[in-house]
Amino acid sequence: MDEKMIKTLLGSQGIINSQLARYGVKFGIYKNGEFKERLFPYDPIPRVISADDYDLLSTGLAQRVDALNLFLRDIYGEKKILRDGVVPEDFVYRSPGYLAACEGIVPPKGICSHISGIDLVQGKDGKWTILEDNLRIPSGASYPLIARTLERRCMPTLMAEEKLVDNRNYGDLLRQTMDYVSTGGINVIFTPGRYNAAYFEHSYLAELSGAVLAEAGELYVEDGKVWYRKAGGPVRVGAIYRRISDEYLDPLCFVKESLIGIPGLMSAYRQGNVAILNAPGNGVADDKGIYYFVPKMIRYYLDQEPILSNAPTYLPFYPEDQKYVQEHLDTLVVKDVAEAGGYGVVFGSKLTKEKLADLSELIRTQPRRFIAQEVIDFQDLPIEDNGEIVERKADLRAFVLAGSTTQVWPCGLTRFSRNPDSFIVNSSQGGGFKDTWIMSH
Amino acid sequence: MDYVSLNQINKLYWLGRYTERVSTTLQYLMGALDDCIDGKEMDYGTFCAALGLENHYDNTMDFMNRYLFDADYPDSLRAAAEQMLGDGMVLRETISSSTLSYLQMAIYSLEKAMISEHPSIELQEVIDNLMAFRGSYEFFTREERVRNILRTGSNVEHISLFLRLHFREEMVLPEVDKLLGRLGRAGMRLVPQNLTTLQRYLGFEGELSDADKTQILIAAENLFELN
Repeated sequence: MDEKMIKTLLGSQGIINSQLARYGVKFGIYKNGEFKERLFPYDPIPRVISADDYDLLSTGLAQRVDALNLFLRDIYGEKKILRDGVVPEDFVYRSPGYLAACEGIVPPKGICSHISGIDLVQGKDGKWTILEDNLRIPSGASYPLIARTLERRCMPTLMAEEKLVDNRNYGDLLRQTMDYVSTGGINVIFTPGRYNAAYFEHSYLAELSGAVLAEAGELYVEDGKVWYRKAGGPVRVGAIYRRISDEYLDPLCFVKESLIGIPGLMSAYRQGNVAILNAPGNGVADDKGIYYFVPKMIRYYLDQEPILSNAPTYLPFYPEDQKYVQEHLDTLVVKDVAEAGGYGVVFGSKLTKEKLADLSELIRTQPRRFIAQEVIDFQDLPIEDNGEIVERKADLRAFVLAGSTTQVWPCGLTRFSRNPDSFIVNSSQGGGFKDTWIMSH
Repeated sequence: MDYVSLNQINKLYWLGRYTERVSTTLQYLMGALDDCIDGKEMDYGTFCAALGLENHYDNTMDFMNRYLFDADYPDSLRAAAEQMLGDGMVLRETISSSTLSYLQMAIYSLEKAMISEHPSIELQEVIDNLMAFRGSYEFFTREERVRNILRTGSNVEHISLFLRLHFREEMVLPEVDKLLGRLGRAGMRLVPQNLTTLQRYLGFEGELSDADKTQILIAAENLFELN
């Protein structure tokens, strides 16, 4: 980026942030039991990905999601991968994401993960590494989507000069994905309600995809089918893009006390009368422990070599990995497989001797609970900070949509840490976001 | 929107009411603020009684500050504005992001007014944004029914405030006419006896008695069966 371009981008920051505020682009957090909405800080300097890099990412991500979908079908079906010893049973059946209630269910068109959010980082050598798969309710697409619309308004000349791949088709992609798996009826985005952290996204995606935004009480199950309580008479629901966790989805099947679910939904789903995006039970495949096995899944199901690599990962479950982790704990990053959102991540190098010893003991006694990874020296990205350009850690969440084909949305959410000493980029921990520009050349 | 649920009808109706409540009450209070320049104290006690609010204010300025801006006080105008935005937020896909953005801007203007040395300027911006909101949904909302439910909420709130505050009372009967004229297009469930009461005033000529006003107020505020 040349100086003139940087100047234009920085000059737009205030206007774009005020436009984001105008459109209520916020995320919610609960602090001390109170719900607060915050603007998601936007940085004007985009992450730029070349067409060649995007081609590689696109192919590699589609390959990964295809394998993960086959894994999910297999786990809740024939379980060939377990019988063949590629993935130990222990990692499946002890995973908190595994749902026995999904056993034997074949989802419409055989797709389990329709909208996958895959987190990556780019190393200083330019190589992309997968950090995490999010196959349950990955959020974040709406932020770069609306930011691009505003960038076009605020910097028309620059946006005309730069040859970017248009990212504004996400609503259409979502609609096509829902239509493809629909069992007949309307498409619904099912939200827990206004006080959910990602409510802006739920309502914005409903607007863009043409789906009906519905809450508990507006949907019900009768005769094994799902219905929307339209004034004047019910209408059948064919596909539900749910933004509610598995455990609250159906009080007859999971948490009985759930007031935000649809009683009987799982029964309708089991009968093949409604598509649920993403399928319940997907957590078994995006468990941090299962992550280790994804390259093996790609080889097993697709007979291909993985195009994109995992971060070097150790499973203390295996004695040889336990030994390595114990010997190198002070240089590794340790993750609690049950945590998400940047929580449960500990850098050995930042612990005192006593804390390190405590962690070592925990890993020794609860080996299945943790994974350990080498710390990747990933590229810092420039951000604006109080009028200066500084470098900060950043990741990329790519969105992969699986319908009639598996395709990667030509954009993505680039999140960055505002803290110079932190690798944690999550919005809930103070991170910001920037647009991701995919170049057409 | 082709699929309006009962819950959305409720939200649309209240969005219409809250929008009008904020806009009309502000216009009324801006007149009172102007009077304060000449040293005239506002009779906020009567205002509170008329709207059924608890009078826990010390003086006119205390009333203005807390009634207008205190979000923690559920009867305040600020709380009504937050309700308005909340209803708008859950209707984004129905009314569109562009239309919703005017409600968000109205809230920002109200926040600016709170710390301004010339709050009437920012309060005028609140009204401007609410007028733009109205223009936006009138122009961009495809479904006639959605527009009519919003307008219905607006009519009811007009009737309520005009009668309670003895403000623009000459507009009450035209508002009743408008309300009755659009009921069929709003498609909401009605309370028959209240409909009959309002219908008695169609084409009414002459001055409304206090008893007439009370009947109209009760019938308009309770015209709909809402879930």
